[in-house]
Parts: sequence; structure tokens; C-alpha cells
Amino acid sequence: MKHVVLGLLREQRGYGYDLQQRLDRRFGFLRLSETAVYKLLNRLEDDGLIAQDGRRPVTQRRAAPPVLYAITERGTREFERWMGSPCSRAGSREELHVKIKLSEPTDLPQLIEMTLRDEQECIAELAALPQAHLDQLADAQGPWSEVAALLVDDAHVARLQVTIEWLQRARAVMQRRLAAGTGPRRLVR
Amino acid sequence: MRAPLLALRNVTRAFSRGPYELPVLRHVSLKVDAGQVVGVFGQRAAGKTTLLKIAAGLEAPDAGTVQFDGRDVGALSRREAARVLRHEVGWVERAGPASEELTVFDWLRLPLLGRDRGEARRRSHAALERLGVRDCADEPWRNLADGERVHVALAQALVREPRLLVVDDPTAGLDLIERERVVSLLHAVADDGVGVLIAAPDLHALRRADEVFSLAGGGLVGPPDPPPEERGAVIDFPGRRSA
Repeated sequence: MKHVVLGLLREQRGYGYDLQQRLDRRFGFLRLSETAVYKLLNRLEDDGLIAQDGRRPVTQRRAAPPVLYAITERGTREFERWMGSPCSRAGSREELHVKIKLSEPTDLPQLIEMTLRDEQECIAELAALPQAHLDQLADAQGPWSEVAALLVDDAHVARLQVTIEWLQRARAVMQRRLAAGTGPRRLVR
Repeated sequence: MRAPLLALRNVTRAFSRGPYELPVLRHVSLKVDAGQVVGVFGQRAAGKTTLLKIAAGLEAPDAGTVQFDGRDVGALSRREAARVLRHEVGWVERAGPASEELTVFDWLRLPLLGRDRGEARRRSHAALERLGVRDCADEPWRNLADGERVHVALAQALVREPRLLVVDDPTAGLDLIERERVVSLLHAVADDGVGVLIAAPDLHALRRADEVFSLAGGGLVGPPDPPPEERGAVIDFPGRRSA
């Protein structure tokens, strides 16, 4: 989670409230509460990954002036390290989605590599699914338990297929973008 | 060590479209052993059929080798290559016979032309029986339902008693139960020692395969980190960093 905040601050400095809004808009699926964001900002500041970069002048006397945060050099290094590191196995797809959203064109080669690794994991997952026993399926009146097991198995395989298809599409788009970026530039008259 | 039944090594294939070249397969390596079911998953236009045609010897690759039982198919004489194609490789033709009026029985006997008529008849009936579509024997192809067509096409490939069965999208248009029956049949064929190579845009058709790869951008992707000597696939595509 801290890397999402680092990524947003790498794009642009921000106040706590503003960061929370940006997080909500772009990473709503992470469901980060406002309190969690502020806690995270404090922790990142303690770790020297972000720093205060001034305060907004306030008109009300008693209110504490909002703090403007910016990413530090150490924070940038930490973000880049995370961006290039393989996604952790548990919840790796969500992590990949976050990385794609925070990426820049220079990150494409490593993102392509990640989609590939994820696809390999999907294939391994397919092999690891427990095999449904379908001995009597040929009989239309065979036991319901076999058909029921098949239905659930079908759902698991369908989920893997959708994921593989998305990974392949994502990789194709990134590869095209990369090829266009590195190829000879077209002359515009 | 015994050579695999089928081995594709560094197979590359591209199609020309005017001044452009469309790469379809890039350095694809794949092997199928006798008795093994190998599945290749790919979306539409991923190059599955091209891969299968090359595996079945119906098309030649631009580069790379195809070995059948340890022999380089590209180096065989035309006569020898035709013999391998006709008798050792079963290509499952889901499109059916050239004429839709041809009866199932006559279509099945076609690859056995020149053999003893009694034997051709026996083998055709045995194949239909095995696939559970004996009742379709006298029906013209046009009368068959989708599910029956899959079974009959499989019977037509099996009637040659091939050592390698190459199957393109065997479960298209089938419901879940029919699909499982077809998949079970393909596995039963493999249990008899036949190597089975299936390509499909439906992962369910490959779910029980011994090995599964996915094909995209011309490269095959397999499960992670197999030891190099067991590696079934070589992955190569633009943007991949060299290791």
C-alpha cells in the first residue's frame, strides 16, 4: 500500500486530503480509509521516504495548516525497487494492476515480464487444480455429485482463462507501445 | 533416451501480406511423447492452427525443425513424408468431408482406400463404435449435429490408427457435458499410447492435459521455471529482456 502513495507522490506533490481523493479515484478497489492514508503518510515520513514540502496558508486561525508532502530521493529509489520487483504471489494480480496504473513508458519492459510470469503462474494453477472425478459422466443419468463437481471446476478454469486472456492482451498492447517508442520515428510533413 | 514422438524446435513462421510480414510463430519449441496429451491455449488468430499444421506436417516452417519419431520431417523424401502423414498422423478435420453429401461411413473409409475392403469396413465401424456414433454411419455429413460432427471427425482421424493425433478446437459449440465426453475420449486415445496435441481457445478443453502452454504474440508460455533440460517451450517476443 505504501508504494501506491509513493507512486502518487512521484507523479505530483500533494496534501493529505488531496492524496486521499486521488487514491479513491484511481485505486478505489483498494478501499483505503482516510485514517489509513494519514497513518501511512506519517509512517512514510518517519521512514524518510516522503517529506513535508511546505504548508498551505490557512484562513481559519485554529485549524492546523494542511501539510504538503513530496517524495524524497530515498522514496523514489524505494518506489523504483518495488516497481521492478516480482509481484508477491498472494494477491499478485492486484499488485500488477496497481503497478500498471502507476507506471511510465520506461517501466514497460519489466511490466511485460510481469505479465509473462503471471501467465506462467496461471498455467501452473491450472495444473494444480484438483481433478474432478468424471468416471460416470458419459451416462446422462450419472450421479449429480459428478456434474456438481464439474460445474465448480468449470468456474475455476473460466476464471483462469479470463485472466490469461487479459494478460495476453495487456502484454500485446505494451509490446506494441514499446516497439513504437523504440522504432524509427515517422517523418511528419 | 528415446526420442519424443513429435518435437518442434525453434519453429518460426511468418505470412507475407504485400510489403509486410506478419510473424505468427517465433522460435516455438514443443514436444509430445507417446501417450501424452499436450494442450496449447490461444485466443483467436494467435497462430494455433498454423502451429498444428506444422506439427502435423501439413505445412513447413520458415525456420526450425519438426521431428517425428526422431526423424526430421523436412529431410524426408516426398514419398516417405506422405506415408508418415497418411498413416502415422491423424489430423482431426472438423470441417468434415469436401462434400456434405458424403456419408459418414464413406468418409471414414477414404483414408483406407487401397486396403482390403473388409478391413476398411471393420476399422471404420470399430472407430464409430468407440466414439459412440455408430448410428451415424449411413447419415450424410450435412445431417449431423455439432456434437456428432466432433465425434465423427475424431473417428475419421482414428481410423488410420495414427501414432499422433492433432486436434484443432475439439470442443467448439459443445455444451459442458459433451465437452467433457470429448476430452475424456481424447485422454482414452492417449491411454492407448497415442500422442495427442490439442489447440483450443477454450482452456476447459485443455484442463486435463499433461502439459499446457499458451500461445500469444508468436511465443509459447509454459509453467514457470522448468529445468532447462525439461523445458518444453522457448519464449521469445519483443520486449522480453534477455536473462
